[in-house]
Amino acid sequence: MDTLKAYSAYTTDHDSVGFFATSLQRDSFNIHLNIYSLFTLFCFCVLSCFSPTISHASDDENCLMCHSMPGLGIYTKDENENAVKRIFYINEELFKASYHGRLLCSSCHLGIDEVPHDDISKVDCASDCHIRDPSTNRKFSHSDIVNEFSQSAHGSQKELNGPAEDLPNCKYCHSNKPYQIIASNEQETVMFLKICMQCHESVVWAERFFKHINYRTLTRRSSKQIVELCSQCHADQAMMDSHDLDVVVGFNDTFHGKAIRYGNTDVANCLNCHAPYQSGFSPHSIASQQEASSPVSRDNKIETCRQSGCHTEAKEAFATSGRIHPSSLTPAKMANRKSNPRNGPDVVDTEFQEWVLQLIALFYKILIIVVVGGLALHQILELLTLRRERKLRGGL
Amino acid sequence: MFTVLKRIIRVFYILVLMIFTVWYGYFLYPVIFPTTDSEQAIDLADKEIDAFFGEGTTEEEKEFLKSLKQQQSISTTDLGYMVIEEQYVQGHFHHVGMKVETDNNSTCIRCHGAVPHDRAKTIRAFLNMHAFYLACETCHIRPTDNNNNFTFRWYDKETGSITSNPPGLNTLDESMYGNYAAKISPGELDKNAVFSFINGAKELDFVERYLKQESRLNDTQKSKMKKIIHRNVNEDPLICDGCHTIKDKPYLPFLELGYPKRRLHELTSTEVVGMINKYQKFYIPNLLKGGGVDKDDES
Repeated sequence: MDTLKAYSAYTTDHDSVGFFATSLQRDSFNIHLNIYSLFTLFCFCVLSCFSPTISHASDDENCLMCHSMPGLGIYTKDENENAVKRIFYINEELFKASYHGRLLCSSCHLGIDEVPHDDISKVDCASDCHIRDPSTNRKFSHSDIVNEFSQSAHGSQKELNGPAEDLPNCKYCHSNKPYQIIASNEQETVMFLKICMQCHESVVWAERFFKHINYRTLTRRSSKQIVELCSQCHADQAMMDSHDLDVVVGFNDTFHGKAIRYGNTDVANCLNCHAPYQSGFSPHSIASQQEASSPVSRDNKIETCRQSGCHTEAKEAFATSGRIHPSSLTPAKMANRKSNPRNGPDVVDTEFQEWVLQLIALFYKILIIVVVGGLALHQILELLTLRRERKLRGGL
Repeated sequence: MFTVLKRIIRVFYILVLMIFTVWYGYFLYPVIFPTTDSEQAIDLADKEIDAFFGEGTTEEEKEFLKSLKQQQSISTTDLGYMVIEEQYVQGHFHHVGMKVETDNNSTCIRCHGAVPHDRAKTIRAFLNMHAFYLACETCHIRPTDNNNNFTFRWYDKETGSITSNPPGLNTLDESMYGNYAAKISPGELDKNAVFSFINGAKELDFVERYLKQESRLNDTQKSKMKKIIHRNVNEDPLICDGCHTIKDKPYLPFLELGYPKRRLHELTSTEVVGMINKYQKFYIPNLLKGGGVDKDDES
């Protein structure tokens, strides 16, 4: 309660608490607490005393007069003539608490000047926002990232083997998520905001700035979620075949994959190797393994393995002894890999390697069946013997 | 005494060891060997495809089955202080924060879908928005003259039963507007003042039977049956200013349906009515008449 008082002392408007109270009451909106979040809920409820704008943020353009109505949406066709569901409903509370919550709708949805809207252009993340970057005082834009992304392996500027519609866009990985908060040390959080408020008058600004910084210190996706996200395409056999890429089902068989599967959070996921941020790489500039700049290229791979917190003592052979997450290749793909001079022995398993792997797997299967089965058989025989002895003694 | 105890310990030891062995084998196996759910899934998918289409399945056919297998999934986002559960819609940027209750009791959406309006580009989203809490019959079935028994009730989307006070209808929380898990539908009061929907359980059953038998019917039979199914549909459906009106009494008895007065005032406010009046010249002449579409809107 001391913490609550400390927070309350810094605000005169407690309406924002209602945001959470309302959220908790709204069963139909399916926002609920989980057991693990009770502590952080408390901290955030307290923290939310600073956010009078969350529940009463103004909809300056009055878009929510219509767009707050669930059901506002259509089925339409995309550029490939596939039916797509378009939802025009905006959950005001989640939007206002989101990364883009300070923006006007028209900051991204450009050119809308009549109701009902007609011929609406697609959102371009590279366009300039109506807010200014505080570090440069220029209009904020994601154009640098968009340009960087377009040059990446996923980008439209790269030479492509398969259909272009398979390429991911911004929305494929990013949604307009409300800020995540982790307040593991409430006292530090209180002190942090106290310090902010000594100089900055606006509680709204301070609270949002805090959330922004807090959110940036978090791992926003778990390893499991990252693997699932990448697997949506890279584990799709048909899609990978159409792009002449290897399907990455083999990752689940590696120790990294299995550790992730069993809930270990401190283990490498796709991005830790293919775009290790510790080494200055970004997922937006992810490169093909064949490119020299890639952190998993033949020359860079060992340094990626040696990155801080991983295999820091790894020898050269550790990274070059074979593929990290091999998966079976079709004969045609195997032949294609062999005929392609850009692929070295670390890119493709030889048929001998695959044969040896299969042999080892078979050996261990037989071994386990014999050992475990033999043990089980032995124990059953033991039990039977016991019964027999008991019967004999009873007979005597 | 000691012999019995020894036996018990021995049996206990053997049983526990056996259970441990089986568990250990079960646990160890996926750690050592390729568990590969994905590979198993691919194998399973391939087997299903073969069973479904036979040998020589084309890529398009595979894509068809793949789409068929992709069920609507629920996405869960843990923000640390709350968890958002919502329908996962690929490529949708904003978080909806809610699961949509399926209307299991509409005769119309069995064929026309839950998002039925798709032709008039400018207002189809508005019409679909209304379809979220109004049954199709509300606008597309009109009372005959002097039918004083014609009225409206809410029905629960899931159970189909009449509900007098859907959740969220009386709340002051504006974000709950429209999200009532119920729909308004027309019906009639009998001489004992008992209400029954015009399209109720009997009509739903009728449509289900038609859909089951459709492939065995010839065109004439189909036409006849469709006419019967649509026998109550009016060629001139209700249009926006039937309810959103300042001058006249709204077509829907909002207060009787449980709307608070404040909400009634909002629905018939100058803001809403003014917008409708301003833009009705674009679409009202043909659009809502018997499914017609303005030529300008047709694409």
